[in-house]
Amino acid sequence: MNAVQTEVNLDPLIHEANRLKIMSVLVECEAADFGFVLSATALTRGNLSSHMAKLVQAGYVNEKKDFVERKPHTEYRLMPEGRDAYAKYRKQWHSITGG
Amino acid sequence: MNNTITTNETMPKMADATRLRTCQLLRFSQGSSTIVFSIILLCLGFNYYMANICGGGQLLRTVSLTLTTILFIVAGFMILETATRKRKSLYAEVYRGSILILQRVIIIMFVLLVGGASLLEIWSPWLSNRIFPGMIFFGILGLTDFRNFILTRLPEDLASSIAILGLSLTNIGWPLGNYIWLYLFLWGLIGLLQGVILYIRWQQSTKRISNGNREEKAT
Repeated sequence: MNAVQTEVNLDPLIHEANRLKIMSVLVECEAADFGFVLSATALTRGNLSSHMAKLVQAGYVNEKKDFVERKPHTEYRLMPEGRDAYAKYRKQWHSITGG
Repeated sequence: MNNTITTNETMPKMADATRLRTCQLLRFSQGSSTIVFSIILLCLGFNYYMANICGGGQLLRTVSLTLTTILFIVAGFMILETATRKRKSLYAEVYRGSILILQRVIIIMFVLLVGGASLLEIWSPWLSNRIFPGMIFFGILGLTDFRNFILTRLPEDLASSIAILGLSLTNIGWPLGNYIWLYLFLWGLIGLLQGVILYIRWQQSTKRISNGNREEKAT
């Protein structure tokens, strides 16, 4: 089995496949809208909304809702706390796998 | 908080794949700005070529014409971009995108400075050297594109690096001379080609995604 069990301080909020995908997209962007994150992660709308809500609640992501030509437009920005948490997660991951 | 977590080794690979896809999408979205930047370089190249033919007397007119052209293109592009971008189905800004803009402004300023200096025959001993500013400028842009290639793995980002290698090898045997307009034309054409490819890829991506979204809504 391709799995290892280890005791570390991995952030449980990021350590979930879909949320890790979302964070990986946002870390490369200054800001991205819902459509962009949806296309880059290939998640379903409902899945993306629920995972994004958790990241927003944790203060990792900033959500800005407005209307563009009377259509709702949601923009997401990774907060400095989120960027730090992602960097820390990747660092810890490399220390576990040694890669 | 210490957690005992069962980790899957494919997770970082999946995250890296998502990051690569994001970088590619962001690069595709730069297609239109690359086209505008290339047109500016071609305009500059044309102006310097004209100034070379007409001599130093035309310099002031040429430079002012160039600056006006650039201002018009940039202003028009910015108005168009802000008006249309958010309306599209996809919108994202590159992280620290202002660095990219600053880099392009520095390159244009460098070209204006070196081109002007070469027309006024200032720094002529340095400019007549084989390692001339044209090649330096070309090299800077090539390195930027090579960095883009490392980030995105898109073959079109290798075009300028290959061109630089070819030019450098050619230059060893047959020096091309210190013609800044020649380098501007070359770079402008390569950039234009790159920009068109990126723009087409961006259009294809947005079309595919909006079709996918429609299908998802229908189901």
